[in-house]
Amino acid sequence: MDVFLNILIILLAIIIFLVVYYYTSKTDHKRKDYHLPLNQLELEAGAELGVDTRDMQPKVDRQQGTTDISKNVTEHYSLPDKYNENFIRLFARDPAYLYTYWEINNQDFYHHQPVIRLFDQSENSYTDLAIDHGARDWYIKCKANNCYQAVIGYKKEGIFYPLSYSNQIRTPLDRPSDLIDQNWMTIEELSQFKYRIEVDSSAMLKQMEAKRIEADSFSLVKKE
Amino acid sequence: MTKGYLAIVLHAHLPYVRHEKKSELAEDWLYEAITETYIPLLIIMNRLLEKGVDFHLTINISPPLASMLGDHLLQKRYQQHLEKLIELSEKEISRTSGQPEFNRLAAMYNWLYKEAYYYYHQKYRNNLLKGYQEFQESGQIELITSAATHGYLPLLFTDEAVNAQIKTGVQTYQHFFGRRPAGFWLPECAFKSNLDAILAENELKYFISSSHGVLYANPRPRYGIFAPIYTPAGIAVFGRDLESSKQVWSADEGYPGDFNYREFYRDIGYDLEYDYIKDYLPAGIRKDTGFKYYKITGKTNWKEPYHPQIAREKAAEHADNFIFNRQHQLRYLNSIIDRWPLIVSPYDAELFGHWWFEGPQWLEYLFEKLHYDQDEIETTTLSAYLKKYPRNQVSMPTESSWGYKGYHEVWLNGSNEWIYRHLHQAEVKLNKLADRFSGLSQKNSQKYRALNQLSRELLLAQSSDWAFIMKAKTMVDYAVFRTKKHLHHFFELAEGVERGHINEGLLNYLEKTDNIFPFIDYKTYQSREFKRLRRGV
Repeated sequence: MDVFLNILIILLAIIIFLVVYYYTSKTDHKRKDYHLPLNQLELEAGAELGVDTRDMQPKVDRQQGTTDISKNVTEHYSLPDKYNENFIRLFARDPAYLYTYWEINNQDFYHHQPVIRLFDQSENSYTDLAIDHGARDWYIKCKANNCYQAVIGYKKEGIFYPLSYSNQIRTPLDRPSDLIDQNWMTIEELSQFKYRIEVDSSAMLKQMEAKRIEADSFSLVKKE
Repeated sequence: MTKGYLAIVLHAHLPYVRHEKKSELAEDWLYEAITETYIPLLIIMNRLLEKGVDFHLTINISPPLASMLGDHLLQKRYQQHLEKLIELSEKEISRTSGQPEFNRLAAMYNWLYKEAYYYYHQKYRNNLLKGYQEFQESGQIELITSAATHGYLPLLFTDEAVNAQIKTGVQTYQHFFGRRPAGFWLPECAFKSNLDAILAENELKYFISSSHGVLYANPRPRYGIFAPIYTPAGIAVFGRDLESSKQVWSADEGYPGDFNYREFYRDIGYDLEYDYIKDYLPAGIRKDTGFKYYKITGKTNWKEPYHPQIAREKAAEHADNFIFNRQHQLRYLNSIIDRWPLIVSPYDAELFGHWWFEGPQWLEYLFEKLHYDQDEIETTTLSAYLKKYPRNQVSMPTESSWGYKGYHEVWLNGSNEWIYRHLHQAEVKLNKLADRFSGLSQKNSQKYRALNQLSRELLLAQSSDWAFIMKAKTMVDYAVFRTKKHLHHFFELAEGVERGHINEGLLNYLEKTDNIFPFIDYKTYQSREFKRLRRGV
């Protein structure tokens, strides 16, 4: 009999603990933050910042008087689902990932395997990514300091049919540049034409690269 | 002898939260920041000037913030808001009469708000921009501009839209300060190649980049972030110093987390009886009022009353510490750099006063101590440094931002990526309309007005704040609401322009509510072959 009583007491204690825990955690999480949006710093230093740690928040009931602002207003302002155009656009999210989104209005696209062909213009190669019909955007792995262009289309019997070409982009660097040439000048000197001829390797490289991209994109179009 | 320069850069920005309807919650951001940051900064600068302290700093007042500070309706509303705060402080004095520890804090707030009122209403006649302008005219500060609505420039799609953000930012500055700005605050320090060319085309002389934006520049900058570089388009770039910003921010060495400083998260707006406080809350919603009686105390919920005098001493101590560390940094840099190095320390202005209550005091101590107690560091504005050292290395900064992870992920991720499709479509649409109606000349014609309003709606929708808030999950509903509202009206109005059936009622309503940038001209959005900045490439 004593054993049962002990078990009962322990069970009761656990239940009380759970109930109390549930309610306290609930009130903690419901707190809404109406503070000024502290720009980048909040995320950059958020965890680091001593004054911003969760356990410092007071355990007071902050429910009274709070309402969800502008919730129903948001639904009032709808945006179009699609714009009835064909496009694909490409951005570098960071040195490791590209972001692309598109809209394609083409029957064949939806009846065959949709594909994004990503041109790596530094290596003059491409990779094909099979995508879903329902997808509208995609993150794609990439290399730092590299040129890319995306082409969206579909594959029919192994042949790629392009439908839209994206803008060309260069991904950011993720480490210091290997190029250590130095050119020191004033804005006036810089604005003079001479500067371009006085072999600045970065400018030269850029020029060469621009030519190569031109050549690449030409072959890119012709290939199809 | 001087060993180097320190350039403090304060970036003051809030999204445009002016609403026709009074007591919108978001408008309170502006009031909080005015009371706690924008007025206190003017107060300490006035005091420094009186004391004869030679100080220099660079301040960016973002175009939407300048537009709000210069808006008569908001000026009047803020005055009323401040009057309410003074009224509440008097109520607080009598409420706490039995508790001396809180009573003297209530008296402190009463004094602070009255002082703020004096500066705001009597001295600057409700227009704080005048105050900042005076300090620029007398040479202590350099005011710079930013993108029109703090748009996140690397994630805009067309050059025309980027140019419109930059150009409108410059125009807003001219409108309020009567001259051209030299410097440009890149929103979130977010850079992408070609931005430099468009900035240079708008006759801007410099901008500020993230640290790695400059450190990873190509070719590798010899002096790293301790001297500006020039991009091939002919604009100077300053890199942000990491050490000094960490000092103010990090938990280990960071100042604002000191246990003696005022606790941000205990406010009578939450702590007191609802019936007592409700008249002082916007729309009766519980939020911060500014009356905070506790110090950080420690890492737990246990909070003790705040002691202003002890906190003040801490601020002085921290100012000493900051100077000590900069001296060491500069001594080291001097051994490797053959000119006086520059430390660029940019901060969000709202850190000082709003988040870190003692921040303005710290700044005041910092400038005072730099002036009186040492001779190794001199403060400077960024233009002044460029004037002293006009010859710089030519190098191209890399695409980057000062946000978490250093690139664009904060503004481009699962929580906010959906906005870009619509924003970019609006850019393309406005560009087309601007080309199609390039011949309009009657500025007050309905079509001209509609096209101008389209530009305003697009700019307002582009505010980087909305994407940021969606990610930070603070007031997501509001950010979604603002993005959708401006875009929705944009497309509705654009359709009217296309069909020659403009809804005059809608146009009037939008002109009244979204009244930013009175000087805007949609022709900025016309396509143009950007001048090749330097012949050749």
